[in-house]
Amino acid sequence: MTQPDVRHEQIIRPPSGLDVNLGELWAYRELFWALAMRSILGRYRQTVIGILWAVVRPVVTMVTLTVVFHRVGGMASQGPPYLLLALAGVVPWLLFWQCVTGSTTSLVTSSEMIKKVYFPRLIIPAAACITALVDFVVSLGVFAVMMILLGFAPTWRLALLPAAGLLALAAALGPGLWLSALNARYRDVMHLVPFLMTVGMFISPVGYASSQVGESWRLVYSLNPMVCVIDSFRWVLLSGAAGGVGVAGFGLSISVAAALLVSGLAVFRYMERTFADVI
Amino acid sequence: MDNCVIAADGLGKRYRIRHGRYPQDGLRHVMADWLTNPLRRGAAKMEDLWAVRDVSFEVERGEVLGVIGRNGSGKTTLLKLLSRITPPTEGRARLTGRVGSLLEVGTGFHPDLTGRENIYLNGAILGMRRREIDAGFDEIVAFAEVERFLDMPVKRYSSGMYVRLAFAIAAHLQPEILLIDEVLAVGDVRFQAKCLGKMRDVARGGRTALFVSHNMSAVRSLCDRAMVLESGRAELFDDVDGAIRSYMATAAPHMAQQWRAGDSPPACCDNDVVVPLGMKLLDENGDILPAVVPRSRSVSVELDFELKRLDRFLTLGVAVYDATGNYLFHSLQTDGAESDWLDLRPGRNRIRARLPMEMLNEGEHRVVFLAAIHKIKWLCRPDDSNVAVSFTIAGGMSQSPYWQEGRRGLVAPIMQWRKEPAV
Repeated sequence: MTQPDVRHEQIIRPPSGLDVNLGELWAYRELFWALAMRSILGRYRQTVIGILWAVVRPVVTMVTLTVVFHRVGGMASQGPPYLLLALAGVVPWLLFWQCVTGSTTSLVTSSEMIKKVYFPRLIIPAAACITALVDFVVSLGVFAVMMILLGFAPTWRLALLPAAGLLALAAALGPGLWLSALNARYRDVMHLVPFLMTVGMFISPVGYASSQVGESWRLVYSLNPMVCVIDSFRWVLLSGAAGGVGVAGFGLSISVAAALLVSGLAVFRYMERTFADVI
Repeated sequence: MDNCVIAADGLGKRYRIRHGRYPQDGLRHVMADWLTNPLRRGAAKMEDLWAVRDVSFEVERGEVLGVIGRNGSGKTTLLKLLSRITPPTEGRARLTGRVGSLLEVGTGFHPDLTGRENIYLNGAILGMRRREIDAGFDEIVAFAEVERFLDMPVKRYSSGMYVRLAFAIAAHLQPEILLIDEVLAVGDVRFQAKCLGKMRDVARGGRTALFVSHNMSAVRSLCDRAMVLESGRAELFDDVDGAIRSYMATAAPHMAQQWRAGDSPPACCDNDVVVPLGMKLLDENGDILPAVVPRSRSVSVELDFELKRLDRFLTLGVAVYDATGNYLFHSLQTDGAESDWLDLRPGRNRIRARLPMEMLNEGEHRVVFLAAIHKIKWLCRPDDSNVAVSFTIAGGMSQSPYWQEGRRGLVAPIMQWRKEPAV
């Protein structure tokens, strides 16, 4: 008679308290990759433009910003060529935008799976962010090309690019988790997102350097988590040639991002209990 | 060592239903509501709906427990609780061993991905490790019969191919505990038989399983014990036939193997001569017949009735219908020679006759009480009557290896063939 496999014992009971259970996420890593691949492959199969879209989007955004802020608005760049300044802001901004937009609807899109299979639901918005990473990498390639074209040489700071990338992901994951959990319960949340993103793009230093914000406004301005992200990217990619928002502002911005991430995780895990019932 | 693999204790799941104006489900409505009505005056009434209530049971290693019940009785919710898809409101359950849940086939299939890619995707979703999928890959493809189409996107597959592939992947799950919800009803007849065969292998392979189904003959052949769910509450039966009988009696009273009169005589049989009191279908031992039997069994019908007065021209017996309502035949106690006619007396009578099983085809049969005054009038007309019992014939048609499945025709006799010398 074989003994029951005690290692795999599960107790099912009414939920209480909050546990993030990162160990479980690790156990489900194969499923995480499978879902990420599904999302990525699914997006680019059968589309002619496919991967080109990851190039077109950052380029068009950069050009639009240049025309609006630089040519028409007359905003000058104190340092690097404006095109590069804009692109250095566009690259992390698009990662944020894609990650948040993708996460918000990810749970509802996968509602059939959520109702029929068990796995930690955190995987779903996380997989959406991985898809955004693919476009992000391509847009970094675009930046490299622009750097060469404009003859702008990078410095040792480039080595910190992965750290900046991680910061961007963390800053995007916080709002992403909040919005995906809320959207699963209240379907109109996803309509808020394009509006939030539009406003966000202007109150984030995408089309201008954050150092150009007036001193008296700096602290309030720094409540935006993307401030620290974009400043980091500018610092890494443009070697600090563009000014930042100052240490205090940076610290505030990064704290807000961390708070959003932690609270996002908590809210998500709490609302996860009822996903299968309300979705 | 404790051999109990699934132990549930007082499991319950409550949903809250709101009555009144249907709540708009948006965040803006919630906020508008809160702003205009902060004290929650006149808040909509909430009703508690317990989908599962106080369900306790234990399943031992290697056992297959069937779960049957009407639609809405809580079967799927119970599986969802055990699969951790939704948490219980009260109670606990302990599962020992890897759990695989099959609540649907083809979960997560992406239409633009190829069959090959979807096998890996769906396998991962169902909880299989990559090396497990690699190991079972060829078997899965062979079972689904889609070798030639592996590299085509599944949106190009026919619905049959799609469903065969989905089932093939799910059927190769190798967990210690399997929770299955009615996934057998996929594909054409031939594939359904294949699915049943595979399920049988799983059941005999020593795995522990919880099997929810509406297919009574599948439950009978695969399960060791069964549980009947009714409005969220469970009743366990050590004997599967007993469970099926109990389920039939409440869920489909017109499909039960016995019938009893209520307080007043049935409206369809209102006359001054005979009052039906009960009908039973019995097996060779005189016990109530199981709902599903092979043809090789002996089946008798017993009629219990009261005669108010005697009539020389009284005829009574049964009419037999098949599943689609075809009138197969009727038989009366006066069909034989007069010397064989039964001696009926005023008052209570009980008569019994063997059904000609050797004539009947596979499928559901309805046996209806019939009474008439010969050539004058109906006393109990069978066509609209609910004084009836039913049973299903499945298998046991013949010892011939060529006759193992249903055959065309209203009846299915075995004729004796003999060889004559050729001229």
